[in-house]
Amino acid sequence: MNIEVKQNGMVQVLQCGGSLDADSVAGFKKVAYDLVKGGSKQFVIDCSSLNFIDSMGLGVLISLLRRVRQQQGDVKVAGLNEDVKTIFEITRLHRLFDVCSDSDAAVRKFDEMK
Amino acid sequence: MPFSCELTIPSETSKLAPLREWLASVQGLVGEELFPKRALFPCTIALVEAVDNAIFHAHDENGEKPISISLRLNGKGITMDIGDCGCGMKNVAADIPDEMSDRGRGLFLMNRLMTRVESLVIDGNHRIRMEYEI
Repeated sequence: MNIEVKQNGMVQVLQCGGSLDADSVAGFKKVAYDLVKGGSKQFVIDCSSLNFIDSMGLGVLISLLRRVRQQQGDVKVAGLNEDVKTIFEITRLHRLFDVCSDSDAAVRKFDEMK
Repeated sequence: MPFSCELTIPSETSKLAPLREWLASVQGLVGEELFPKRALFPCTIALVEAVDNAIFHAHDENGEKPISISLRLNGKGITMDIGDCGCGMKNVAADIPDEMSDRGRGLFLMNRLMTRVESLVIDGNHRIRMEYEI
């Protein structure tokens, strides 16, 4: 999995490419939790280059969401392909996460909350 | 004509990506009649979840323990057996977990995406059998 972090104002945009699965959750967790420890609480997970997610990948996103919501932050997911979107819908996580069309739209939503 | 194949992998998450590629290559090889393309996504997710269960629950991440995978295609359905060294599960049915729980969605996905999911012990060996009706 490739993760690229881009900061847009107060928002951390994590561009994820490849697979978010049992093999890559530890790497994702390290990057995301280090940002949380550094004070970040607004995250956009850009999934436009993500082609696969399993239940462990979903689990790490929920875990991140729990952490940042405790600090009145949020995690928005963006750019889901059809397969990843289907997994979100089957597991009903599209109700838990704010699912945005793309990362720019997700960042704008954070900006509108100011 | 029916098609079947088997492979054995170590209990390592690094094998998940090659495993997904293997299943996709089988689908491409046998074609639509035995393995419709629409079945690839649900079968891939279910296979990965079953292998995750074997690695993390049955084998406690002991990479030396093997996971056997068999795939049988007969034109009516797709059957996948995932064998591990564990003792099996009493109940493979799974409700969706609480929305804020970060665990428990693997079995749920397997049940939602496949027609049948069973936990079997055959000759002392445990396997998860998953069937997808075409």
